[in-house]
Amino acid sequence: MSESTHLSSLREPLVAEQRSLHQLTEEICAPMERRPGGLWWAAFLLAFAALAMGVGMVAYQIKTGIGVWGLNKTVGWAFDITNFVFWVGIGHAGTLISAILFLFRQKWRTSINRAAEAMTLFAVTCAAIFPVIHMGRPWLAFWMLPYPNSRGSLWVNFRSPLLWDVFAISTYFTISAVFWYVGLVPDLATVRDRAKSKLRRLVFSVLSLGWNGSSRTWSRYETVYLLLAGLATPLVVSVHTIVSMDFATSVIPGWHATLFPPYFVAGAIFSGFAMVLTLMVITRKVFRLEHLITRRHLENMCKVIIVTGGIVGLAYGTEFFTAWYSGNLYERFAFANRAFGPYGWAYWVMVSCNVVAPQLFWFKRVRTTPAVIFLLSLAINVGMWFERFVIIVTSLHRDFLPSSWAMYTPTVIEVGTLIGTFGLFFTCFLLFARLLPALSIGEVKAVAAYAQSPVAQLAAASSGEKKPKSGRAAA
Amino acid sequence: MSDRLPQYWQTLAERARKLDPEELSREFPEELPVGPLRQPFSFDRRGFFKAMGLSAAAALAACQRAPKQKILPFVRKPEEVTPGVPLWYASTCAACPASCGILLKVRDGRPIKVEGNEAHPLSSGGVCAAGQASLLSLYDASRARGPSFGGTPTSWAALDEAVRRGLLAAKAQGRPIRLLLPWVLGPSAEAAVARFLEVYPTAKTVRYEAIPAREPIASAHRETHGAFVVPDYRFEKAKVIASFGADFLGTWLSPVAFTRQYSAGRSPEAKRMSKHFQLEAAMSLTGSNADRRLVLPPSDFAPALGALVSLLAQRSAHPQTEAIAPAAHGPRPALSTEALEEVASALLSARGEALVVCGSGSLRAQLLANAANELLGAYGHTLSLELGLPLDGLALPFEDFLAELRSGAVGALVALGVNPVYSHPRGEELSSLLSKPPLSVCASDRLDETAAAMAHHAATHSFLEDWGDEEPRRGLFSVRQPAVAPLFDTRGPFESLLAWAGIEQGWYDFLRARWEREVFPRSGAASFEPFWEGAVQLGVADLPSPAEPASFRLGGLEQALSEAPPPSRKDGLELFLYPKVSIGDGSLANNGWLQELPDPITKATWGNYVQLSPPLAASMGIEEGRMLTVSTEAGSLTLPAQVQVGLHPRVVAVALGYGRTKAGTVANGVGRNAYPLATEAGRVSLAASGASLSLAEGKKKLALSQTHHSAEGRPIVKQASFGELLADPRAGNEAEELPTRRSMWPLHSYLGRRWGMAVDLTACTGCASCIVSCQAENNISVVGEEEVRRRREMHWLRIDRYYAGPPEAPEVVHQPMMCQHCENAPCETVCPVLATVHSGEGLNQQVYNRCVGTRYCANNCPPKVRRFNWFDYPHADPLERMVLNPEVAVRTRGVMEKCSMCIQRIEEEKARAKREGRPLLDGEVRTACQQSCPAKAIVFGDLNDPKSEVSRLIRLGRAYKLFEELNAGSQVSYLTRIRNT
Repeated sequence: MSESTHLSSLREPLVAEQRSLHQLTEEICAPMERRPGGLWWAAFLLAFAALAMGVGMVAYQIKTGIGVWGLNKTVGWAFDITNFVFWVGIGHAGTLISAILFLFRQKWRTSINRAAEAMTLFAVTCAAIFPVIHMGRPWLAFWMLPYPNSRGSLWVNFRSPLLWDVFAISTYFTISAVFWYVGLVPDLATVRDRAKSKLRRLVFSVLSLGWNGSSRTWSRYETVYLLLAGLATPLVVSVHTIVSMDFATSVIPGWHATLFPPYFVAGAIFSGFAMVLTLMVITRKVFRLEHLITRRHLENMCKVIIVTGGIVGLAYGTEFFTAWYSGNLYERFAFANRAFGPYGWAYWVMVSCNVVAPQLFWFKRVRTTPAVIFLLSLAINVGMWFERFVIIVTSLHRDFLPSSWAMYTPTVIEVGTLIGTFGLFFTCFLLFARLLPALSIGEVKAVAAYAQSPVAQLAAASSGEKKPKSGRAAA
Repeated sequence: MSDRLPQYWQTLAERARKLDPEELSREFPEELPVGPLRQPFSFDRRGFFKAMGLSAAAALAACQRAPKQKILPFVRKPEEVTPGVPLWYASTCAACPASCGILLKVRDGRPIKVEGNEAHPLSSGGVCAAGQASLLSLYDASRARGPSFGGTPTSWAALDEAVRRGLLAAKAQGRPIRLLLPWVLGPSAEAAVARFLEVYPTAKTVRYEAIPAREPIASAHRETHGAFVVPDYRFEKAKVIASFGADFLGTWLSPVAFTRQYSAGRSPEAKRMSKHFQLEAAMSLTGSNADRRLVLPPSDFAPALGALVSLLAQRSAHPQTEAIAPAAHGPRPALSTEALEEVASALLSARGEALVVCGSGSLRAQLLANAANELLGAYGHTLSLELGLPLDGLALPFEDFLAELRSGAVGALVALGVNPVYSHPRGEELSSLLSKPPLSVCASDRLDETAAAMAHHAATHSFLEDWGDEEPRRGLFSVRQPAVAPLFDTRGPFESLLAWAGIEQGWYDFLRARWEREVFPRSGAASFEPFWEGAVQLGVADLPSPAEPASFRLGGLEQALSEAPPPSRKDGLELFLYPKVSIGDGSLANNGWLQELPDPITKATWGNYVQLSPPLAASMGIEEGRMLTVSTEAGSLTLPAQVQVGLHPRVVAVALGYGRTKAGTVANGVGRNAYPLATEAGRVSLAASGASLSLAEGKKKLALSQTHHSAEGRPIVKQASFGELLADPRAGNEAEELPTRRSMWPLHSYLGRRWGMAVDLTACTGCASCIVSCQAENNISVVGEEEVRRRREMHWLRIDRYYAGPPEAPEVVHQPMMCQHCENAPCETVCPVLATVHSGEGLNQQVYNRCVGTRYCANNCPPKVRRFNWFDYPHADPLERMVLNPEVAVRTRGVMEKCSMCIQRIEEEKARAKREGRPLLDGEVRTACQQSCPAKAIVFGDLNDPKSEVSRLIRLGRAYKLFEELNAGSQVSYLTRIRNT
């Protein structure tokens, strides 16, 4: 398409390549409708093997006792809560992309929001495993729920941040799932309409909730979507704020900091975008969707990473300043120990991955080269995992009484459980990419060059619709 | 069935209604059925009876006579025994020869706790870690369960028969009979031995102690005072104490009594504090408490004492000064003259109130210590021979006994309660020699190393199952009574001895008769029965006992010193062997509580190691855990390294009591046996010069309960010197500027009581008695070496030990640390399921049943006192389970636990007061740690009562709380550590 068809030279189309709407549908639905390739199978088997190993590790741990982990009298949390916070953080990008960017009318989100939301769900699922299995008696996990019971007036402790976590995570999961599902409905209808087998048609008929693609349906859909986006937006801030309160409301030097909520939220978005980038770079390559998930998408996400990475770096600095400025003996020690103590290496891994590495994104060449982006996003994922490890373990292992200072070393079981959650995450993601449209067909069409053309704009204006038809119309 | 009428129906609807179950079950059908024909399922009279008859017959046929089991109500219960209500029996501890008074808590016929007997003048309520842990040894599954011939079970009759025959044969042949015994037995046991010796004229005693402590002291006094007596020490009367290697607060002679005395003599509130010099080779518990500590190698003890005696002689006004000084002359110690001058002048300034004690096994050192005490006028004041413990002066020296064994002269050998095969440097040789006599019989509680080397084994009672008596101080008769019926087919050792001597009288009758004959007349009581019962009930009878005064004999000293030359010093390192506070000489090694008790200094559990000083470690490039081989002339030993501050740079130290091979499942193979490295030249010396150290293969991580040793300048243990305290009652505890403390939450209001605790760090010596007391009281699990190595020991109460100052002369502080029961407890707010809550009496309570195990509370606990059950720590052995306190729940895996301030004791005393209709008095509730503390460093009570002892203590200028800046509001106060520096 030539330059003259653009509405504005400032607004380059997000999906620039010439594609008809039908072609878009075909391309996005293709991975679902063809047999999986060898690459997919290899990835799936690897992920599933990791998942199976993780299940084995957790089963052994629950059978034997949590002593199979490397925790001790001083360090009561380590890999478990590190993994929990890490996975919750990963989830945040999905909600941010789908809700906040939607509200801010950031159209570039359309190519990545579906996958990002799916990622959120899977990441939160991975995260939710840890608060349960880290318990000494996980079979009593339901005691964390405030339900009427026959134990006298025994209730949960509403003052405990761990309980707030229960509410925050369950709310977050519910809203994210609903949001994701609602967004899927028009595309599910598309798939239904394309279905060749009876069973497939039946399944997608049920899933698409009788979508008929009428203007009225679209209108209601968009209202619901907007409302859900509004509902989900506070969660982006609240969930990680509450997770950070697990630490911030405690008395442990290195945990007890008012800085934690914004610091954690920024870190979560930071890590989430890194994970989205990791996944998208692979997805666009494997499913040959480079024209839909363009370099520009990647570049935009890199820019978000620069900003959030900057906030995270600032938070690291602020923590040290506050510790020094407080004059508090224990605070000062906690941070000196963090950087120069026995776990100093973890701290410097964290700083190099989270503060130094993202600075490379200032270079346009870097942030538009998928291979480099991929490597840097991996580094940020690693760095953000270490951030949580550093916060949890280095604060606990040397707190108030030096007599109790101890070192923590993870066991095979803990490492295996972490790998197992990656297995779960990728198993879910690979299945998702196979079974559901990984990109939002309807929304991508809206930002395709065709949709942005004056003809389509006029047509859309006259019909009172913003988007071209999907669903029945597209079929 | 002609009488059964068909049921007619008229309409289909009617028929359908009849079959409608809902209709049938309705209580009031719309239409009342009229006439018999309309009744559904009607029974006629005959049918009814038939059915009834059949069902009755069927029911009867199903019956059969149940086996007759007679249960009996507890109407005629044994007198005094109420199920669930514990009884207390006074007795005398036999974990070591110190003979402290104990009380045994017996519930439903089984002892579940050892506590100190307040009425006992020696230990006055204190009891040490080993004494308390001896309870667990009662329920040790590795105990011998009956008599045996070389490990093959037999009957007592058969054993007695065989032993009698062997003894009589030896008597008939005129061959020597040897009785191998410990030095300290108790007066009645000594009487039994004497009877045995009367019956067998060729019999002689051979006395043995694994760690030569009493014999060298008594031998020295035999030379200098003509009395083979271990003196009675009175540390509370001493204003200046100089200890040459005597770990009198930890392991030397009678640590509980000495700790009691020592802390009584060091009371900042009474404005009295002794000055304590400790001269030692390795850091001991006593050394860690000293006001001034000097290090010297073991071979320097005698030279240092010689130099001290010379200095004292120069300046003292003793009539025999002129003669003593040259006698004491010997090689110069490698100790600065100024240091010795300081000790000497301090001692002289407190003439008559000074005390020199020496823990060396060297006779020369002991002789010189006696001379020093004589010059200081200590005899009769700070130590007394008249009240001392006389030893068996007729015993055959062990060396001669060995020679007899080698020559095959011994006709019969009877060993009682000693284990020389394990604990003698010549143990290996002994194990082959012991079976040489035609009769060899060993009486011990298990088939240990010595018993296994002998032909017959007479399984003995635990001391908790046996009668006995002790006389630890002359005239102080301490009674031992059984607190439980024997668990196995065992027999008291003296019951056996009497039987083998052919004496019909049983041990109890013998003991009682001796008391009636010997002890009772001295009491002045009217009749024996009440006197005896009183003594048994109280556990002690303190009677006046005349003794011949012993006076110093200069000639004896000169003679003995000339015969006991100073030890020859060789180049190279010196090996110092020492008993640990927990394991001691190793006789109680098969005891999980003791194995897992962190050493007060090194904080190591489970096993021994080579201690070496930081300079030596640095020069050899050794880091902690590196396997090292220590070699002496006697042999070599490979153990992991432990770099210890406060050790003489030329000294390597190894703990004794480990490396048991036949102690039982707990102790076998834990650590290595260091006894074979002891020097043995006439007399065993637990030191060896000319030792060398070499690197061995591999590393072994020590199982430590504390790995960081500096308090990092944090105000955790506050301290000041005695002088500073006299000038300012808040010395070392100056009030800190704290911001105004506000709380978001309404403060707790304690309408009734408010429990609190005060821990006096000046009194606390760090002896670890409280740890075992807590463990026994609260069913705390033993987790094993590997779990301790993973930093998962379960002790609710621990003692933190910090070093300060230079590594050559470190300052050591001990701090008992338990749940602080914070007002605004950080653990309480974070528990999601309310498993840890605040009580109305100010206690932070842990609800095990509710705990799901998030460990958030432990993370948020500033003093890190919460302990988590990482696994199910089994109490699998049914015998071992008998030690459990039924008042305290046994915790399952996945549950957090911690100090409860002995809530079960609080409730018990509250209930008692309520039953008796009176208010609870201060001091009635005592926590387990408080009860057992020999130093009385822990006081528990009601903070709401301004007159309570704990309230008085927390008002002192010395009182402070931990982490006040956190606004957590600890209910435990510490009193500053005051040293007389």
